[in-house]
Amino acid sequence: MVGFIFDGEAMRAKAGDTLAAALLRNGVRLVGRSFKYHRPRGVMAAGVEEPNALVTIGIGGRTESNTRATDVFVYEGLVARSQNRWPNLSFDVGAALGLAAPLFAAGFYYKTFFGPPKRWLRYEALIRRAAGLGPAPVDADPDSFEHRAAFCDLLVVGGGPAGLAAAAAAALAGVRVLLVEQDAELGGTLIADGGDLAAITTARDAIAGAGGRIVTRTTASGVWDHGFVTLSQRVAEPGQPAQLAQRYWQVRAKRIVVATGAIERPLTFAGNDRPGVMLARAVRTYIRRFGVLPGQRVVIATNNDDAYRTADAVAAAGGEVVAILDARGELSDVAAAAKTRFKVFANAFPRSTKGQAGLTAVEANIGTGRSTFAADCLAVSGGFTPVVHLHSQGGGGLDWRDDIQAFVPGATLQPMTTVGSAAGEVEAVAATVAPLTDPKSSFIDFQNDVTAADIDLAWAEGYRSVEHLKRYTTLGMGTDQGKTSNMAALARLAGAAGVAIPAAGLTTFRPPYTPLTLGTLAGPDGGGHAAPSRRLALADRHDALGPIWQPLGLWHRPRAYPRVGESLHDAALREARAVRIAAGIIDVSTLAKFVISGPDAAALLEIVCATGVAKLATGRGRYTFMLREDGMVMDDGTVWRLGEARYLLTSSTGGAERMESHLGYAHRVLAAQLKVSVVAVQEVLAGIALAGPGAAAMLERLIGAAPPAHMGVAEAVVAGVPVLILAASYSGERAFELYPAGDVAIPVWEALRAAGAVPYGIEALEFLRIEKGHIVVGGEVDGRTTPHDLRLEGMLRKAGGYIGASALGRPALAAPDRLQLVGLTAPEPIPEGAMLVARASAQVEGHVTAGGLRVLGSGGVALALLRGGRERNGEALIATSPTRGLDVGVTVTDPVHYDPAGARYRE
Amino acid sequence: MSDVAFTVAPAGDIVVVDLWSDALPDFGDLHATLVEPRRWWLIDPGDTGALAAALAKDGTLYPIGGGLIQATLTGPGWRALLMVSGVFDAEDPNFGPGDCAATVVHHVSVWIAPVDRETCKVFFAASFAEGLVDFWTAAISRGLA
Repeated sequence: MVGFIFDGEAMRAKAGDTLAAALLRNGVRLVGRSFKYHRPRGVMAAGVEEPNALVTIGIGGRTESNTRATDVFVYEGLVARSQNRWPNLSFDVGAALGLAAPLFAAGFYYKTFFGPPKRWLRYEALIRRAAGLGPAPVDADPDSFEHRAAFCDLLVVGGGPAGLAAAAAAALAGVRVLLVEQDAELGGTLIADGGDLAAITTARDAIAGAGGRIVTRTTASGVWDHGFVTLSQRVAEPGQPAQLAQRYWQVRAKRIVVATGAIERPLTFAGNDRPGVMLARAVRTYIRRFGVLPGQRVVIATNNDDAYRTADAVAAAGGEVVAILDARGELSDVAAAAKTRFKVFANAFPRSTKGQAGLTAVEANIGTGRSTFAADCLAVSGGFTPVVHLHSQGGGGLDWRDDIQAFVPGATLQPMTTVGSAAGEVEAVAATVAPLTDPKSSFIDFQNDVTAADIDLAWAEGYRSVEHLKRYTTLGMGTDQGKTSNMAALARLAGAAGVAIPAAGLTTFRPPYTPLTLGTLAGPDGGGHAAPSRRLALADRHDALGPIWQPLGLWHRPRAYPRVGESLHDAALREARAVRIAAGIIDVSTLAKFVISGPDAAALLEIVCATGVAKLATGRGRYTFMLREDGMVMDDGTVWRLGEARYLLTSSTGGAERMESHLGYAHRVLAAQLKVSVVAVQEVLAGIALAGPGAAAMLERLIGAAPPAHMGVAEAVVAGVPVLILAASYSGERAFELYPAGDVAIPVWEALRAAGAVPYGIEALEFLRIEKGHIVVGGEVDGRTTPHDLRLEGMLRKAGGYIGASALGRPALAAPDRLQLVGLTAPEPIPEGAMLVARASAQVEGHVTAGGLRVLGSGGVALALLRGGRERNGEALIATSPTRGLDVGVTVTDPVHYDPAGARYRE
Repeated sequence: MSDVAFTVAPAGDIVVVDLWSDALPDFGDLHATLVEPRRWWLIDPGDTGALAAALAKDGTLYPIGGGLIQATLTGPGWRALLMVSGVFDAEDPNFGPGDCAATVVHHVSVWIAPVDRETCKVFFAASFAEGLVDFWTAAISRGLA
């Protein structure tokens, strides 16, 4: 036996019990309260279709609310609580809402909450207090979740008789089989009906023996395109501590066999929601599988033969079958045979039920008469609805079957076959429907308290589409998604419309089939960043300097290296000044880098780059930029001719993957005939930029030779490590980028440090580049700016031929009132992101893309995009940021605030 | 119980061979792995001068080892491990020595190269190493059943 707790009371269960079975074993009939009216509810089903017995499982971060008691297997220490009640389950103040049920008819929200918006604030508070069922956990989930891929020739969903047979046959034929079953045990209806249980073992062994995989406690939650199916596996039960709580499978199957069975339908009559009213097959399951008899005096109401098996099971378990109410006017052979053992009534329907927290009597219409039976369990069967959800999710059509009063899978768009009960192999039913004595207490959707009267009302109010009806009444929503209610609702709607059920329409089946936890979807990413984090090759060296780390895409880069007592701003300004006065080093390893080789390397580069490349001399480099097809600047960087037929292209960190795709597009699609190789070497080469007036001398001491001239290339050795040296400047000072191999970069960094270079971070780099007027992707290059907007048009290759060239001819891209790059100056810092206006409340004419301070002087400088900005030097504007309460008077200038002649970096 | 363990180390000497045509060069004794159309990797090739000369105008070589990490997965569970947050069918019995899959594991680009029944090499950019090591360590500790 296993100990568990329900609503604070210690109970015992048998190993293998579901919580629902365990509660019935312990005599608990009242399990929860309904959503809207707080009506007492008990266990109705034995599977995932259960609409009533919703509970909260677990404690702390492992709390899982709104879990079906029929879909939790009891483990030692399980803690469960009933929901939607206060102060307790048996005495629930909220049940008073039931008295006001007439006020809460269909469309209550839409009819009630009118008035001025202010009033809604009060409504909202009330609605939020009343809405929902179980509480969401407050603590973080301590468990692990995993995503797992699987591939197979055949995925079989459902481990009942049909699924087992299909899986075993396929496995023996040598194909890769994956069989999934949402229950903890294989067998499906075989377990409930006491069939050939040995067949389960035989099939399981055959599948496993042939190399097939069987995964239980796993539900196919969604079918997507091309045989892609998602599965949710309960590795541990809800609330159960474990190494792994749930696994989300992403399966790619060549074929899918759907053997998901059928769900029994309840009957509609007054008081059909009372605890003790259960589905007939569920009653049989509790008896045969779990050894629990849900009631001692059982009335059975049915319109088909299947429920007679329940009568046999009740009798065999020692219960009394008080009466069998058969809706059919003429008894079947099965019913006639049963009449020798039980009281069987033809043309008989349950009319209403009696009882408080549980059933005590059933009132029935029998022919033209009426009878009342004392009973504590009413087992009902309105026929079976094939589980067509997966077929429908895959875009398959549905066909109507009159004999079973249900839809069955029709044509499919997927490599999918539906078999067994899910394909319609279920008992035929009588379509007879008894008139309802009290539609307002005759429930169609138990979970959402939607009654037959609600559907009638919606119809009367003009809701003709079943999709509108669903949203108006909340029918088919919630955790069960109408698994037990949809067909009854359609029948009621069709009756009101005077049409056959298929003509009434059908709501859409969408994933997931059963609820998924957020942890399942998050998988291993829960609790942190959903993307991986990239670590610099020099990260340990940075860490030793105690930097402030800045996330940049997937990377983390040092933003600044503050000394004790320094703020970020102070540290960055000190570092920037070191670059202006002496020499600084910054880790630029994250720059995108591509080695482009081959006789047609220049030709490829001239497709990708909008500047000239072919005339670049060996050992020289130049600034370049790339356009999108629409002529907008996409990225920028430098291109270097390393050899006769070899170039190095650099571009921005954040655009590395995009640039790799772009190069691939040019290489593989636009110019596949070119003899060229493109190798992404972002991490093959680490990068360290050395900048400042002392940089050249420092480097000369380290390499023992004169460093290359500005935009020149050299190969050298630093601290015993071969490095490629590119003389490029982003700061405005004489500068060099040193590229050693990624796995040997540390000695180079250390050598530069030892030589006196001051490490600086990207905040200082930002100060430097703003002052120098250099654009940056994500700032001035915002996807809407052309070369002309950014004052780069003079560098465009006149011969054209590059991506985006033809788009630049569009007149709108040369319009004078476009947003254009400008500089701004002010006596004080200029707020980044501020709007530019001529005066307060005037029309916005642009925005500040980046703002900083003069590194060595005083006052603020900024870069901005300003309408017609190229012709507006000297204008006084206001940089305004209302959300920060900032207004700064600025003057429009050229964007280059520092050394416009470029003398310093050429020195 | 997870029947897989792994170690990581710098990938060492890896050279990309890009070809301009579909003509297959004579790699001689070099261990060449096809990683994408017209692209091969030479793993620990040593001196590639002869190959470079042989390729002449048909292709080019470039060393990339400095930016890569090589994980060695040992034990029959390596296939299951690579299915965790993976998208490639590493459990396909036809995927074996001599093959190479360029794919993604837990958002990270990887190249998977089976060595034998119980060993597999996985290459990936060095910056992802710490995260991937943590990810695999956690997956193995949870079990791969």
